[in-house]
Amino acid sequence: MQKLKDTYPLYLNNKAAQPNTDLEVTDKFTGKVAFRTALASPEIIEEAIEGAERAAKPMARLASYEKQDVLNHCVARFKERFEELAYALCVEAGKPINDAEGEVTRLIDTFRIAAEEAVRNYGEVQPLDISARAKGYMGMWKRVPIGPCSFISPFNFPLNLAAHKIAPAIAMGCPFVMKPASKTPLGAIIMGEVLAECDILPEGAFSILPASRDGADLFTTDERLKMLSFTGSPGVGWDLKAKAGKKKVILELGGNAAVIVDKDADLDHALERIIIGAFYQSGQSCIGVQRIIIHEDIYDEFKEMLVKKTERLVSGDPKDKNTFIGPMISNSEAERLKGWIDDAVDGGAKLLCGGELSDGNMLQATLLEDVDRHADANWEEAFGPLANLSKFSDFDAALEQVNDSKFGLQAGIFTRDIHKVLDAWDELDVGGVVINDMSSYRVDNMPYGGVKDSGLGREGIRFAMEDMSEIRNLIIRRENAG
Amino acid sequence: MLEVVNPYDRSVIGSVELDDWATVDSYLETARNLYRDKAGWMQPYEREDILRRAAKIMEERKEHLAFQIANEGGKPLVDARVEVDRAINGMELCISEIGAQAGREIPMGLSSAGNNRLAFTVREPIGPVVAISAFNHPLNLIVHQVAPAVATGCPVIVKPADDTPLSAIEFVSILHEAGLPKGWCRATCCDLEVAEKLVTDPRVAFFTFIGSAKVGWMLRSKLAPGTRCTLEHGGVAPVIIEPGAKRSDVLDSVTKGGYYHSGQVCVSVQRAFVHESIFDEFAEELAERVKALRVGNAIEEDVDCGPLIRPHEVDRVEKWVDEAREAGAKILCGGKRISDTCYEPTIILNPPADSTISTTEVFGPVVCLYTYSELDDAISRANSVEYSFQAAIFTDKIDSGMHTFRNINASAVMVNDHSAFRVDWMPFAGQKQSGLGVGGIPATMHEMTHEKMLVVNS
Repeated sequence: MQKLKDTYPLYLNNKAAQPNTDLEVTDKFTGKVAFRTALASPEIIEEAIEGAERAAKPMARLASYEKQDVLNHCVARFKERFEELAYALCVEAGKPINDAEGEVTRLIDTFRIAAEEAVRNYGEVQPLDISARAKGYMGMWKRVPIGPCSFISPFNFPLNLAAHKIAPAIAMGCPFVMKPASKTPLGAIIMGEVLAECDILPEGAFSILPASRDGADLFTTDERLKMLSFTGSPGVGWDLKAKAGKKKVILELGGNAAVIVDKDADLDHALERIIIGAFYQSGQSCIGVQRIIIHEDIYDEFKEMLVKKTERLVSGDPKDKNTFIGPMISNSEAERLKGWIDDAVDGGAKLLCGGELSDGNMLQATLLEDVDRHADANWEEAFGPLANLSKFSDFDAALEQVNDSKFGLQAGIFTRDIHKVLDAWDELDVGGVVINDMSSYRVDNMPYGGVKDSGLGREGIRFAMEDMSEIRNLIIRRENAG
Repeated sequence: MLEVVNPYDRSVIGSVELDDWATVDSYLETARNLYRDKAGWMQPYEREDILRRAAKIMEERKEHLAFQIANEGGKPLVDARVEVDRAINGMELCISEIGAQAGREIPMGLSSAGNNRLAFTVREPIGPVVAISAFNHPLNLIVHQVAPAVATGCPVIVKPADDTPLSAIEFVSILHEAGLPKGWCRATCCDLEVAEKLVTDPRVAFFTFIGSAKVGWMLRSKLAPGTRCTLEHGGVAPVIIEPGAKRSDVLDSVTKGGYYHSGQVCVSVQRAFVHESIFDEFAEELAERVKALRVGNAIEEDVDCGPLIRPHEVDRVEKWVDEAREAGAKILCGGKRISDTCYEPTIILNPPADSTISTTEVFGPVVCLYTYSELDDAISRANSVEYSFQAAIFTDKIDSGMHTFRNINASAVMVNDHSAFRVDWMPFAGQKQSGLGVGGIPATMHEMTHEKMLVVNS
């Protein structure tokens, strides 16, 4: 069995520091304190921002191959520390071990993609002589790093969602300060430990600072930080944007993602994928399936299949290989969702299975039908093991149902009809449409992000690198033009 | 049986079996069948893994590979080591580039004819690739021709130069060791008749050739209908040296670009146009450096210039230099053979414009210096040959750089660097007689794939 240390440092300007051990992090299944980490004070955050500002120029001067070397080093070290990283996720996030291993694999992919992108940060040459007044002029543009970046990452993928900010920042040449989620800081801290092994990174290139929300205003408000990239809840995200001043803001928020199951779909396949999409890591994924919209001809059949399979999901200790449903991140989150489920039932919804809360944060995988569209369980982001069933007769109406949401991240469509595929791609107001898979399908090089309340901008290495850079143009006039 | 020798002392260092047509035919047949079986194609991540493992093995055998290049190719160890580093880097570039092999959407709404259509493309491997390679970079050129094929998922058969087959054969066996099933990549040594049958066979989808212009264009004329090709030949690379350029940098750069690997590089500096105001001084200073170059057996440390690849080439260079001398050109230094295998690093002043040394690729340790007074005159003389590859200008004036860039015949113009500057990801393309198509890792991967479009009416 892997072991975690009792205490972990923070990383300030590339170096480990242990000013205190003020942050207690629990094992989400046992509820006991698993380890303690340093907590950054506003003074430490100030020092980190100063460091990032100092590092901006030297970071920008790093050659592509040097940045690639750093990223490749991370890939190699993450491979070596695979089991330790997976175990850390299992403890601090309560993530079932199979899913934790899946996340470490994706972490490695994310850094690998960034290592590749680091050497193809191309610009363009433009002929400017589109009219007589520009005869003899030519232009070319390149991308330059935007400068110090501020990153705030969430608890549900402590490694990979932090990686989606860290890896492109290094590939682009931006120093950064990162605040990992206080409930799950260890993933990012271990990344800091690996980055600290890279001497080529200039002092100040990175700081990884667990911090309490109250003390972390500088991450949002400080004008020396040129870009804020936040992944987390919609409420917090939009609020931060309002306080972010002149900096560029990227928000990766959540939603109440929907899947449509059409009558010609392969139901066995749809069942398997939707169960994963709705309930893996207890539904705590920003593109987790929350709304299942089923054609009326197959509604009863598919409902029965869903209920049967959901009831059989094994819940328990995330460290156990057989566990599918682990704990939710906290008792308060579990109580919140339990309250929404109860309210929905009070409002007329029918509970098909689950709905019970035990041990503080172990909420059963839950299916509801006939939920009022404005009930919290349907209208807000559940971020837990809940999915609502509804039926449709006409495919266009099903698309409208998907769009009947303040969110728009990804949607999944199970159908064999190519016309419906293309209609869905045209009509759905989302960042991505997934055909014959769940809404939560993601590969780490895709453009990923939401519209409406679900966010602003896209991640997926290349796309993040574009946001972490500015275009700088060069215009040349030749003296003896012609 | 092909004997491989060290070109300096002609001692035998190895031998290679020659393949007959039946063997080569079976390689081609396997390649075609692998390509036809789409279900059996390797996934990009599988190809990436193979290339990554191969790069690791190359890294482990670095010193051995460098020695082998020096031993069979006569390239001084110091440069052979650089070649191995570049070859490994080429593998890494292929790996990086796999993820960039993307299709695109074709906008359909530009007229009513496209109503309700959606179109996008993917890039597919083009099919069996045949590569014929050259002796001068026995490992890195093979990497440039073979690794992109592996990276894009094309089966490939490579015939290395007869003089330097060992590095190529070892590279292919490294790929096999790294997990590439043998049928996907074969090295073959064969006589000219078999080689020509291979190249012109209709099963070949793509032919990549590095070598002399004469052979390249001849083979192209015999390709089967449908076979695509790229040709990479040489040139008589021009370099213009303006008075304002920083002298010591120019001298370093021209010495390297003109004499590295004894000038056996397709973009070697062969013709340097030097402004009249600095001509005499520059020539003297260059001669000082050239005289200091140490000629010897490439496998020994501290050798700057090795032998020419074959004694016949020494005869040829000797003849061309003698011709220029007889036509009145001054030989400032060098100008004679050292032995049957080595020729002195040589500077010729103002050989006639129509002499062989001014118009044809010498592929030996000879640089010609010509005086000029007007930049445009230097450019037009640079443009007077049938070749066009890389060119260079040394100057402190942005206008001269831009003017030369615009007007000189070349596929790439270096400002303040020699014509032989190359990094393996840049496009590398001969024009006019110097070649066809574009080399360099990303461009080669592009050439080895074709775009396939899907149009959906909905």
